[in-house]
Amino acid sequence: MSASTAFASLRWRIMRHGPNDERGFGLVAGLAAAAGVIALAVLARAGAVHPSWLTAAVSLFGLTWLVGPILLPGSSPVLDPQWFRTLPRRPITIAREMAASEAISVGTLITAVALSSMLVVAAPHGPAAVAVAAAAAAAQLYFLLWLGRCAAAVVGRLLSSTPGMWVAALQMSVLLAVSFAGWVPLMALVLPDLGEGGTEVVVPPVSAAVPAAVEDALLGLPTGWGLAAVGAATSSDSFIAAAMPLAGLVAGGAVLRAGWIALTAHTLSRPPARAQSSVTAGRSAALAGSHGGGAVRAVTVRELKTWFRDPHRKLGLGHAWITPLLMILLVAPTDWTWALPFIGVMAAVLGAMVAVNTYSLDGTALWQPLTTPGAIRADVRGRQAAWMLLFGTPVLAGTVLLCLLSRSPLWAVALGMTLAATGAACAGAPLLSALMPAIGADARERVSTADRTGNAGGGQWTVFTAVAAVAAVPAVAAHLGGAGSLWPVHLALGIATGAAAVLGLSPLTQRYLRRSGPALLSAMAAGDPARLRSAPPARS
Amino acid sequence: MTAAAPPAVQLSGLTKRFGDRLAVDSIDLTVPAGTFYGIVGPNGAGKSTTLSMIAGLLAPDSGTVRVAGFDAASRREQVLDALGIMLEGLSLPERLTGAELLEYTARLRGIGDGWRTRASDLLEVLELDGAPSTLVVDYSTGMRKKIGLAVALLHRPRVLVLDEPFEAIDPVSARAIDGLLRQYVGGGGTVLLSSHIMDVVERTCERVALIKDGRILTEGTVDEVRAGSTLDDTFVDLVGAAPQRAIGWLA
Repeated sequence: MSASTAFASLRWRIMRHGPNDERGFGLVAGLAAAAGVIALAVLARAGAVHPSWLTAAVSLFGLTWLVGPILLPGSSPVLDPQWFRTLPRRPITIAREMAASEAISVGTLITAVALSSMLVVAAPHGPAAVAVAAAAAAAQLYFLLWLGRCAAAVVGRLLSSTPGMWVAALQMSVLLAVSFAGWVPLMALVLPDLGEGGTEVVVPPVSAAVPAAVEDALLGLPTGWGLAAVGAATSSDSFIAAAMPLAGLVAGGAVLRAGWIALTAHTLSRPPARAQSSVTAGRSAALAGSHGGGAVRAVTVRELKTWFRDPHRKLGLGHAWITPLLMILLVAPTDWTWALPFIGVMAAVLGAMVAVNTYSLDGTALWQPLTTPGAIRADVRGRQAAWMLLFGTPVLAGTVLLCLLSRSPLWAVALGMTLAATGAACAGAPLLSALMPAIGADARERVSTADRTGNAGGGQWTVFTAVAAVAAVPAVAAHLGGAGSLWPVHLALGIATGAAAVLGLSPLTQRYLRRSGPALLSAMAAGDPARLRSAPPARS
Repeated sequence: MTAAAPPAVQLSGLTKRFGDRLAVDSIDLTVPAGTFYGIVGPNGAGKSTTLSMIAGLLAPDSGTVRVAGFDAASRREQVLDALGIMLEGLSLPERLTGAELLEYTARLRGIGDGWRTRASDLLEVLELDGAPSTLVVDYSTGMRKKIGLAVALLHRPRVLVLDEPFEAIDPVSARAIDGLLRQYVGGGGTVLLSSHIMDVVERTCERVALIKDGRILTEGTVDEVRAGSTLDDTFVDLVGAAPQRAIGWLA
């Protein structure tokens, strides 16, 4: 068996043995999205939708390969190059041998399915067009695979140094800010008077097609070259017009593959990862500087220190603080300054998203609250208190400030929604952290952001949806009650909704931890979330 | 006339199964109060599973656990109050220093102002006071064992449950832990520990139980169990030695 085959076989066995919760979720969700792309191709072929939407969908699929590793840093490769450091071969040789196995992934399968939409488009145009489409899909997949692998390797490299970590944090914050608020400048052009209740659309109505300039830009990017080749093959364009994008994809993929091999070889040639956290406590760490207070305060202090000392939590803290500021920069120059206070809602959502995996990040340290009388209640409340201090209070203060500065006619609606979102985020994050743990390396084995954490994507999107839904409650209730924009009503509803979320979810979290805490601990000790479901509940 | 103290730990028919594998098979065990008690056995014998059930971190399939006279199923709070726990392979609040961890533990347990003296004593005796700014995540294996012991001891529990306290640590750290445990037992405390290291068990424990395949093979005072031999030889005799044969390609 060649070394490449051995690596591929090892990767396949690791994937087969699991744990496969996240992989299974990703496969199902990804295949559903890929089926959507194929459906779009079928509809485009039938003339039901404009083909430019297929261009947009395929480009979006391609973009996920680049954005994924940036948005989810700490996700570990299936085969960690460090395992093979001691093999008696040159690092570059080992990296080359590992390269072939990288194609074995859920992402490759999903993308291959999505890219088969090119065959759907080409099918009516004869065998030559189908052959070009098959080549385009393969070349596009090759390019995207190595784009994703290279992005993950670069992010991993950046996260291993402190300055690099902040560069990565800024990158992710920019992406998040654009994702959450990037549409505002565009909508501000379309509906400039929405803040005053004006619903007159200024630009011509959106046609049933992606604007031509946008489509051209998407086809001009490497993520669109496969479709560009198919487009050339199905029209009267020359052979060169179809061949050029394909050659570009293969050449680009080869360059990215070489980049990945070089980065992996570099990892293989370096000494083992730093075993020290490089964080030291200040003078307050001594007994003389101790704090008073009871169990809740003890947990709150522990949490505050952990947020600033745990590398992954610190990265999340940075995102949650930087991203709303970038969103303000995006929104402030537009005609939609009335929307500025609504950034508070998104800031609360972000605070919840970065705090949604803290139980897993703390790992098996959960044994202590589980074996200390009364500590579970203190643990949940202390986590909430720390969240309020680090996220909730700045969010509310910032929202009030934005209300004052923007003179938004909808300030009360925004503040009411932010109050509700803050309560939901404060109480929802610990609950979902216990319910949906994304288990990675245990806390004692994580000393830098380059170390492995679980993929918290599921929990993050769940808390995003939940907090956003709760945030809408005061506005909807005020509207249904005919309160209009009466500010006392919005504020009272916001406070009531937020308080209800905290009062309702806190006992739920405590009860869940009492009942399933030992199973959660066992799952984290084994690194297998499946144990959480298979274990019987603890006797209380 | 005073009533006799209840056993520190009493297990009756304790059973735990993981899928098809019977990890603990109807164990009956009594650990008298005030003793230094060792559980020994090969890897996978069920030692850690038994200790986890005593600590309340694993629910038994059947059987009962009593600690200091309290039933673990119905009097959980009292049992947890009576126990000090150090289990192998679990994290601590890793981003705190040793002193911060002890303060946190003291507040969590509601120990009064006396915690400061206790913490100071433990940090000094266990030689952890020389690294006041080092986070627990950066501790060496020995330091980690010692801070784990300090956390377990801080509230002066009636029973200490220690999983492999002497595993993978240097002789100096082992001696520090040994000394502290002897003081604790001398003061009336009970230590229930698991270990692979026979000479440590032989040197420190008064009673010992030998477990294999989830069952107790023998139990008694160290002298009774070793029966004139060494505990190591008795262990190998009861558990069975690995097959010995010459391997040609090694020569």
